[in-house]
Amino acid sequence: MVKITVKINKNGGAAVVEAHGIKGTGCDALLNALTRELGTIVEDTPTAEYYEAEPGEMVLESGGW
Amino acid sequence: MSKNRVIKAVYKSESALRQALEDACAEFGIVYEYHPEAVNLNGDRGDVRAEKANYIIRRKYLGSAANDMGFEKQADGSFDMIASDFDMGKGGYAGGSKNAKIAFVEWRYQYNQVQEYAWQNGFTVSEVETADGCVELALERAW
Repeated sequence: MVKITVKINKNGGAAVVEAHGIKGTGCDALLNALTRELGTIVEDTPTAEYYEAEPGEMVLESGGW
Repeated sequence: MSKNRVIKAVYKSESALRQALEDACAEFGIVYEYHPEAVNLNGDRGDVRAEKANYIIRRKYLGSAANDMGFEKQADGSFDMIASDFDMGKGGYAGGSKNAKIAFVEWRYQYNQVQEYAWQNGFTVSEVETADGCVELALERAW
């Protein structure tokens, strides 16, 4: 089972993408693919922040809109 | 007179962008323009600005102090968004509040793009509205 949660702020701002239970490069590839699709604001947020929140849980916040 | 702001390389799917603009038209009763060849945007006083766009929402639909906003196609097929600092909630007069119609187009683009991604990659999607003004989409697939 692959599950991705995307939280979109209706007032604008960053979309938050979370994938649970996915490890390693598969997680990176999946999140990066979705992040590429969502895009990032080059001007306002030059780099997306990527970090491991908990063991086995990867959280990525893409740039603001 | 508010200067325009260019948000580069954000909008990569023309179909999701067009659908977001259609959604905004349905939501607010406004219209957008499409120009195969980009045309100039107008400022809040009706002045012609140097910036050009292919997809445009004219200022009369955005608010009395708004500039036109638009999306200009780039060489790689993505679209830059062009809107005024004021309409993006930047600067002292804006008070940090983004134009509601622009905010709508932004979140609907994200929404449509996620839906498109899910469909193309075999995910089912469920959605809930949260108390903090967000839409939460859960994408799931068994493989």
